[in-house]
Amino acid sequence: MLGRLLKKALKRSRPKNSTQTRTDAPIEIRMTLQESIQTLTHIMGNSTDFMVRKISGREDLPEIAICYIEGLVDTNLLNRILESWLTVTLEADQMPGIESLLNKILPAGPISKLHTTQSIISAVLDGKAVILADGMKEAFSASIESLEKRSIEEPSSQTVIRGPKDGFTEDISTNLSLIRRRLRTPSLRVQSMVIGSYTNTKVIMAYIEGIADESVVSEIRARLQSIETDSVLESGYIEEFIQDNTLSPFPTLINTERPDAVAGGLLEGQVVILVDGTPFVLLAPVTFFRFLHSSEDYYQRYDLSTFLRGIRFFSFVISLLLPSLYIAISTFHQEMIPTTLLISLAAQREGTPLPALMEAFMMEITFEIIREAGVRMPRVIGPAISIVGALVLGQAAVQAGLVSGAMVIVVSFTAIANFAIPAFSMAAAIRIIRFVLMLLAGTFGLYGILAGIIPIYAHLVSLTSFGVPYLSPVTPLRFADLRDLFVRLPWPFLKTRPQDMNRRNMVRQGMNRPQQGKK
Amino acid sequence: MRRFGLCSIPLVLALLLTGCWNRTELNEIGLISALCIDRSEEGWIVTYQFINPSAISAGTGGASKAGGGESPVHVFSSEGPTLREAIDVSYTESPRRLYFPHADVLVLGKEAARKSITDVIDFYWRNTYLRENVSVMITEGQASEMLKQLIPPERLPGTAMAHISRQTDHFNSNFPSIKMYELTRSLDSQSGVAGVPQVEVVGESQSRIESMDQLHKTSTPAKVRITELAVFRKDRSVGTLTRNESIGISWLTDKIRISALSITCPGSNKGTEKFSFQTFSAKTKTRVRKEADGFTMLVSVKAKGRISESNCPENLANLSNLRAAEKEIEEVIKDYMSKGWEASKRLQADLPHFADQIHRKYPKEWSKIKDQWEKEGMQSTRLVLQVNVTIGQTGMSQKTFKPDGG
Repeated sequence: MLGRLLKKALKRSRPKNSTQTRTDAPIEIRMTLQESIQTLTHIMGNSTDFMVRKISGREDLPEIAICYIEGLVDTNLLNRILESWLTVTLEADQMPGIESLLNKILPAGPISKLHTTQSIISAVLDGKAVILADGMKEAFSASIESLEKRSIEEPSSQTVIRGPKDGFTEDISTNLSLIRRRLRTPSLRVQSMVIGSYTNTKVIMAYIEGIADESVVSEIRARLQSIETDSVLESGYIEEFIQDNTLSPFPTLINTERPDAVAGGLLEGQVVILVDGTPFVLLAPVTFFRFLHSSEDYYQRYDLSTFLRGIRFFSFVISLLLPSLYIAISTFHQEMIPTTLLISLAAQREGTPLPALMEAFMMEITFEIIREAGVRMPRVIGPAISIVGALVLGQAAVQAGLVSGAMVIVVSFTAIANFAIPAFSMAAAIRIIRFVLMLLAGTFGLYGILAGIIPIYAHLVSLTSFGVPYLSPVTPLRFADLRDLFVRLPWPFLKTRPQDMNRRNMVRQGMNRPQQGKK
Repeated sequence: MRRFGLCSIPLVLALLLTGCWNRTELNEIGLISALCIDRSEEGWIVTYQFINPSAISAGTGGASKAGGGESPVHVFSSEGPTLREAIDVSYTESPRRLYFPHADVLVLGKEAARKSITDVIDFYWRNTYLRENVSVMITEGQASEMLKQLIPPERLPGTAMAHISRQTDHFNSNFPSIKMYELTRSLDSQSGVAGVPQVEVVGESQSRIESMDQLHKTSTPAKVRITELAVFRKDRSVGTLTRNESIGISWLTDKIRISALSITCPGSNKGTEKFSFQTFSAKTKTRVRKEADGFTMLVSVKAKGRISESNCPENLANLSNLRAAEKEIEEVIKDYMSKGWEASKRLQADLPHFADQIHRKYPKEWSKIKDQWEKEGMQSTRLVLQVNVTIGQTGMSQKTFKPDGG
């Protein structure tokens, strides 16, 4: 019901977005340099960082102007261009074409001819230097951009013990190079597009030809191209525009900061979407179980990986169910608790004022507040928050008899279990669902928990990610894929790729068979 | 579809309005650790042993003082013409909801046991809030007195009683413990007989261990102990068996697990020197054979064990002595079994459940002798005993320790 209302609201709001089209028919470049410069500065609104440098030192050559945005271009390279323009020697008494002359003096990188004022502006905004010549209806752009960028560092959100320590940065070409470095194959297809009428953000879609499912690739491409928005500041924008089910709490795209995870995903048939300006890269399609896998699972020994996966699935269940199970059993089904445990629980509950449900809600909300505060506050005050959180809200609340000790344990264990889920987006989904389940448990007991879990399960079964069933390979069941799901068998046993993403090129080991799509 | 959606909103919201339905917070229930049923003139007296959680758990809970001073349990009784009414009456003095599923033990008073326990059994099976896996026990006199006894070092007397019964069952098999469902099954069988351990307060009868002061002493003057095995036939108790007779019944009914026997040494001339034999596995098989003048029960016992102490002049590790010792043990076991059977005949209670075997093998004959089984059939049934004992180990030493300088 709520869903339908929201959908309607979405539909209504779509056309509004699309009315906001970009201006203008193409404007031709003027013949005289002066006029051209005037037009450009007018469009740029006399912005002070828009630089136009006129060069008229050579009598034998036409006057030219170089336009660029201060800070986006490499000043050294710019100086070199100027220098060579002033010192270039011409072939004997021939009037050379400007184009060939420029080819001679401009540095490596593509030089493109521009015919409209709009294209000049966008080239300039991309960080290129545009060279206009007096009396010419064409302009030339040179790639001398130099953006300030962060160096490659260890990912802060997804750390591993064993495995590569490099992480994506905010710069899209660096990110692409990190992927290219891992997949040295011509089959890696990269397609870029620009999204956002104001931000003009570069978005790159990459996949491995021959492994990724063609229909998935074209579906993602179509969804990306249909995005009409004025801004894309982070890959989260893209995620919400192209995900299958807007109203589901479960993510249908996975984000990662790790190039090795992306490379692994590409090799299993996923499509990667990079967005300029963020280290978080999207992978799609994705199934539920991948949110509980870590790229480290493939680097550590298989027995440890299997054990750790078990721990993660267990902590997933704990994180989802523990508070509601505690509420349900301690308020409805006391006969299920062993006598001695029940006595000690009852002793702790003696004198606590609130019902178990309220107590659990209070503590869970308190924890969420501490957690949120921990993320937002300045790093310097970190220790203060942990003291207040642990001592005041935990220890003191129990001693004051406001909360029972068992509840503090339950809430803390739930919180810790939540951190064991490797994907933040999945952990967040459970955090929300947990509250609903707690309410149901406090109202109907175990029956209520079941009444909550069955719809969630039904929802998970019905969910798809770009056409791939969310719960595959469990529903629909594919035995071959179970080798790398709850357990991870040693690499020599993982001869085929997961079948949920790709059906054509399944074999990844065994030299006897030719591998298609890969060289 | 839209209308359906609109209609379902109030329905879903109404579900939330029901509040917390039959929710009971942990501090609203009174956990009962033992239940006790006595007979009065008008009806039943039910006695409850309430657990006082904060006195038990020396934890950090709401009450910060680790309940040293408080009594771990509170006992009170209520009376009524039926069991349910008696329990309902208890709410006139109980501040909390009685919560039965955690009761470990049900103690029946002598009067109740003598009259009839069918009401109790029916009550247990009919209601969901009572558990059929409570240990059943019997006491001489008023059962409610038993619940007031503290059993150090356990803090919960009810649990302690159930544990005593279980330990007896496990580690010497003298008095097999019986749960409500086993009792029901036994009484409902062809033999219709069950043995229930009988607990008593022994020692200085005046100083009951009701006061918490008793917990501060190293030895309480009075103790709760299982003394005898009460025998139920059909619906009432008909007598008791002594410990030795009860052991015999345990051997006959394959209830022996670990049990120690004291045996006269094979080479002992006066019979004063003894060794002890501890079984670690025992298996009893019974077969029935019909003969012209009645039934013969073939009881074959296979027991394995170790020698756990010895005062014998001979070296028991010597093979011939070992065989002789085995013979002695076999005789002792046979003796126990025949004593148990004699006691059964005396009480006219078929404790070894031979009737069920006869019924199973000779259903036609059984229907004829059924009514006269206790009075005649049982008395004429012969017992053929066959015991096979193996001494598995003689322990870490061979000869008996004698400080003679050799």
